Amino acid sequence: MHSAMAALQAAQDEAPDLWSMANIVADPGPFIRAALLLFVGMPLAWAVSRWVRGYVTRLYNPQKGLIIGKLVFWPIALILAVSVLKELGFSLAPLLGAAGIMGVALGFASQTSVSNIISGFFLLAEEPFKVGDVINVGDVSGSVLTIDMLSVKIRTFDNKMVRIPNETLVKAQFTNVTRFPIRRVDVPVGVAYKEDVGRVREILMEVAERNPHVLMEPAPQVMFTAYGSSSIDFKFAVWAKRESWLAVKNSITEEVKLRLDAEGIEIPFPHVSLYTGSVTEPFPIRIEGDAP
Amino acid sequence: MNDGRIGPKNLWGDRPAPEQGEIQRLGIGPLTLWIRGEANEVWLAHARTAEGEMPPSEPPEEGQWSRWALQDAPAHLRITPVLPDRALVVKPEHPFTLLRRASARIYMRIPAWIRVEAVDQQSRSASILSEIPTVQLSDTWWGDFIDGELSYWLSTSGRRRLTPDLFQSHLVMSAVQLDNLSADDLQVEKLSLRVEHLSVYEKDGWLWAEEVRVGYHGEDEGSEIHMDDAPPREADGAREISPARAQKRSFRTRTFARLRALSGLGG
Repeated sequence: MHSAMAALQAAQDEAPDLWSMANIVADPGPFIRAALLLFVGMPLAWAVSRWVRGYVTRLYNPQKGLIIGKLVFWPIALILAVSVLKELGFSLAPLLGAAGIMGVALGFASQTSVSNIISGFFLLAEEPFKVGDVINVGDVSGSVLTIDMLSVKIRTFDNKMVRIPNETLVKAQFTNVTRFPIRRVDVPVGVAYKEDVGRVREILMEVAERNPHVLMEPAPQVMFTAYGSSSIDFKFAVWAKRESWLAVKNSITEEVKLRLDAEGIEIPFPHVSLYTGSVTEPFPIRIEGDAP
Repeated sequence: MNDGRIGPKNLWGDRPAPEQGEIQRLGIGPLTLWIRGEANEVWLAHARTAEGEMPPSEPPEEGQWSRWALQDAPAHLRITPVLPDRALVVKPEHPFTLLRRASARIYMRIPAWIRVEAVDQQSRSASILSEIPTVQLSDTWWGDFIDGELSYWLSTSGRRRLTPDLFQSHLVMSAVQLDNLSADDLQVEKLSLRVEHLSVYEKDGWLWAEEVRVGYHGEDEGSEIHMDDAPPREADGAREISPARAQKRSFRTRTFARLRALSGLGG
């Protein structure tokens, strides 16, 4: 650190005394050139990166456009910064020396950031999701807003922004729920043991057929899952277009309930049967007071 | 063919728009359509009835109306039948096998959508207000789990012969000529019909679409599809009443489907 300070001091010593008003008035050239570089170059860099971003977006996708746009902007910005410093008379050799020493120190301090940047490139290459996809990461679920150099920003369904470091996404398991065009809706259905299982199956298939948003293919299915403690349990699986998934999930559940009620098929709630020790003995009841 | 039976006349085309507060009622197959006139506005409501049910005579309640605000009160409304806006996956009720080098002509009835347009008094240009399916078809998926196309599902008897009972005011008759040009038998369980390329014709009050000719070349080579620019020979002299949504073209595609691994099992 001491060497870095010394290098910076050397850079300051080598810089001409440009900062006095007399010098600015006597030779305004370097300041004008530096200002021109800054005020023309930066908007130009921004415009070029915007154009590249748009072009790559049209060619591939917004995610690649975003990152390639940044990859174009930052090197141009760096070159401009160096040029401005040079115009102002700063010698770059001591600065670069200082930067090298500082770089080592910064390198140790910014391991996480570097890891996130490299992870960002892996995400870009692998493309497990794109802007607008809905992903589940741990207990967070939401739509991908941006994929940046360090992190991915997600908008949750209750409208919060969650920042997930790129490194986490490379390491962790996550689910992209909108990757494919169709999705399955699973509805658990339990009916009383006394009911006709074949009839229940027919009714559920009719419910699926009558819902116009349920896809006829892949065909709806009724799968037996278990002899439950209170009911015979089925999984009623229907397919829907990705965009209609939530509407189908809500409507089909309601339609199953209404139809089973209309057909007089019992959906039992969990219940417990009490025995007094023998299935043949009645449960003893004692009446107290003046019962009617 | 249709036994000389005449379909409903004066159903399609321009009709005077309802006056302020007036309600017009149109019955087209299972669909009942109400049109209400308001100041520079057109209000529409509809209801569908199941087979055997009496169509409702009273218009629906206020909340079920859709409303269009126009520059001027239209003098006329145009009512036309159009075909659905997506491809149909047609499943014959009784799948059949078409022997190699054999041909078959089958007739399918496609429920029309009703297009309602407001016709401008001066320019005579029409603006589409709404398109209402006479029968609400279910969605289906044509493809695999990763890639495919959203279509409508239509179950059909797939008749080989035209009989008078097949004709109804809201159904568009489509003749599909299947030619099995391959060396293998073709099991026809489902086929994808790209109705967006078909126009609607009218003859004697009944609706027709162009003939679709499908040449099957084999499992790997797909099918060649050709759509005519004229009504089928069964409806010779029919007049076009609504053009196709998309430009006609011949193309090679997957049209037939045997039972495929779309079981959705697991998970």
